[in-house]
Amino acid sequence: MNSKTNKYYRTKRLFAVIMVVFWMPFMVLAQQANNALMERGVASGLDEAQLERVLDRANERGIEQGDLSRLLEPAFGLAERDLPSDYILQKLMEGFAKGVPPGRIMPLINSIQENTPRAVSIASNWTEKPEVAIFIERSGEQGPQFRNELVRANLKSLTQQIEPEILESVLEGMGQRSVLDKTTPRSIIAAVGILPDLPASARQADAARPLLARAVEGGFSASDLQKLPGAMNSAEKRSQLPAASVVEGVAQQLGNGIPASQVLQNLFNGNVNPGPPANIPGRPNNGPGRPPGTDGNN
Amino acid sequence: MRIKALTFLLMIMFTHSAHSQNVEGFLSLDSSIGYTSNTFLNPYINEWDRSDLSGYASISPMGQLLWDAGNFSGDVTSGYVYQPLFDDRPSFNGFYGNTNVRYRLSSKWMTEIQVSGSNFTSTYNRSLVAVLPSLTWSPGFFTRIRARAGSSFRNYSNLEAEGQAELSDRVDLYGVEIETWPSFNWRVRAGFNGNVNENLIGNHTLSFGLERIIQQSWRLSLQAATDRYSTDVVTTTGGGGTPPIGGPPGGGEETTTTEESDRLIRTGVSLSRTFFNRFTATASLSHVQFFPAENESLSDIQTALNFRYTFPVSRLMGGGKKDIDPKWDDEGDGVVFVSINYQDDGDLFLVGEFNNWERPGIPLSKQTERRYAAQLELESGIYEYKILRVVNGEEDWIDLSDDAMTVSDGFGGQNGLIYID
Repeated sequence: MNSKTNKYYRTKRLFAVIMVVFWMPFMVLAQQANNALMERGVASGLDEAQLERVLDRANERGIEQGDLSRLLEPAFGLAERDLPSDYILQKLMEGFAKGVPPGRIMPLINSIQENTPRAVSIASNWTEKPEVAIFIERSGEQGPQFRNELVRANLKSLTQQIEPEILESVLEGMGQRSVLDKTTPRSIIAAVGILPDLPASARQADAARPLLARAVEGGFSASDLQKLPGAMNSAEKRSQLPAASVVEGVAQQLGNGIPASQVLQNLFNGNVNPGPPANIPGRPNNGPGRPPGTDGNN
Repeated sequence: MRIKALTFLLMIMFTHSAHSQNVEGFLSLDSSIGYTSNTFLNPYINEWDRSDLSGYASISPMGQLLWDAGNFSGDVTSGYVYQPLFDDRPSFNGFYGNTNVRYRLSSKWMTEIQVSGSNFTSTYNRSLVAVLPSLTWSPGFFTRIRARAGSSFRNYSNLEAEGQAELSDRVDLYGVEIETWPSFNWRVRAGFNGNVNENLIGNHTLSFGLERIIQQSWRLSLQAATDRYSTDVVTTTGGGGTPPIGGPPGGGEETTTTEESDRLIRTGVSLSRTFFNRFTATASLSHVQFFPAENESLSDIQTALNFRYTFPVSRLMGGGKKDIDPKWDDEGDGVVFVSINYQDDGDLFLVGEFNNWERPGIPLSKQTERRYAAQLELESGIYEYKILRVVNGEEDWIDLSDDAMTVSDGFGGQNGLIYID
């Protein structure tokens, strides 16, 4: 090994030592900031393990401490008021995983914080109704778990510009005994969850309530309901009757076209879908009469 | 030169429209076997012919194109029918086509024009063209009322009997129909359609249809309709012959016009079942009772079994079908099996609420050339997820197919969604 090589390695080691020395304070500061956030979060009532995960992900993604602190503040605020904050932590981890910049995560987090009290109150008011309580008990669902899922479904809708009055109206429609008798808690959650994905014309209280209540009453499962926005959007684009499109969509037959016999009946028949009336027994002034060359009129 | 310019123009239009419209194409094959005592009840022929009691078979390949762009939407259907009759009559075969173009005026109003045509050959040749504009009002998601009026043109020419003149006519039609869904399981349709050539309501059809959708894949339909065909019968009395009883005395000539009407009552029932979303089998039974003004009534029946297979050709332009549609199977005791059909480079991972969105996530192991799968243990609940693809260390998210359950993620994208009971 010559002196030139030794000099190179010495320089490299020196550079590394300098880097560590200079970087150390920042690492210590970051750790201290994380510790502070952790202490604040635990004190406010957040789940320690979940919060630690969020902090680790933020560090892995290189989120600056100031941004992280601002992103977590709404969760601390909710936890201090004994309101659910897990949805915020999940959305933070989702945002970090997807590489969403903090500036784009923040509006959603703020919106969740702002709407959580309303989401909780809507869910509580509905689940406390005697007929709903019986429905939850009968379905074998854990009451608190169902309520939490409903809060989350409410939040998804409220944070995507669904008015609270629409949510209340939809839940009221599904709280009728005739509807509750034919559905499951999962379908209720799904019905609330799809509201933001419905076309604008269906996101009105007077439209959404009968639409979803009839779907749930009709025995649509949670996964059926999930297909409803796509079918509604398809109906709107193709100017079809939404009800027909929804039924096709739920049966996954949206793209099956029209049977040939039906097309032809539409062409010839005076049926519900009219066309030229068919050739009934010929009379001189009733169209051309029977086909020429046939003696079918007997 | 002109052709080149036109081609260039079409290419520009096509390229431009490709960004704003969706087009889907389907091919289907319809086949049926049936028996009828009157070909009036045969949906492919629909001509009054009681000359033979006959079984029949038919096969009809058909293509369909659906498109939408802004407030416009439409469909084009075209097909061929070959139908041999099991008697000494020649087969019935020909082409048909139908085009609907719709324009959405508002959320409740829509205008549409239907242009259809067909050309069929048997012992005779029949051509038909119909143009039917319509206006539709939808007061809600479950009801629509449609008014339509238009004309149809028919031409018959006899291929066998020499010297037969061609027969052509035009029928002017109008109709009002209502379709309503009391629930997602019931569809009710009713219509009043008339032929204005004689008088406004003298020739009409009053129809009613009821459909019950059972567990999404079964459909039970009941149809009933009554048709009235009126005719002015001109009777000339006197003029040299013996005056009829009640006729004018003195041998003078008198013309009287009386209206006679024939009636048809049609009823039908059909039951269909769809398998694997693409294959449909239908059994149907229909009956027609003809009450002529002056003769005894006639009764005919038809019964048939129909089979239909449809498959999408492509989703040609924007909004088309994407790559992946994960299948989730809840195997009980909290065990969930997920499988994905995927044929491209890279490794696939599941990332979602069930692993707190930790990348790269839960690996999907390659089962076959195209199939990836993973087994998870999940508590009951609702989970959002994405599929991450890693190719040479590069990570990207794969879009889910239009058929997969998805939900807005709040960041402008979509997450997959799964419910575990």
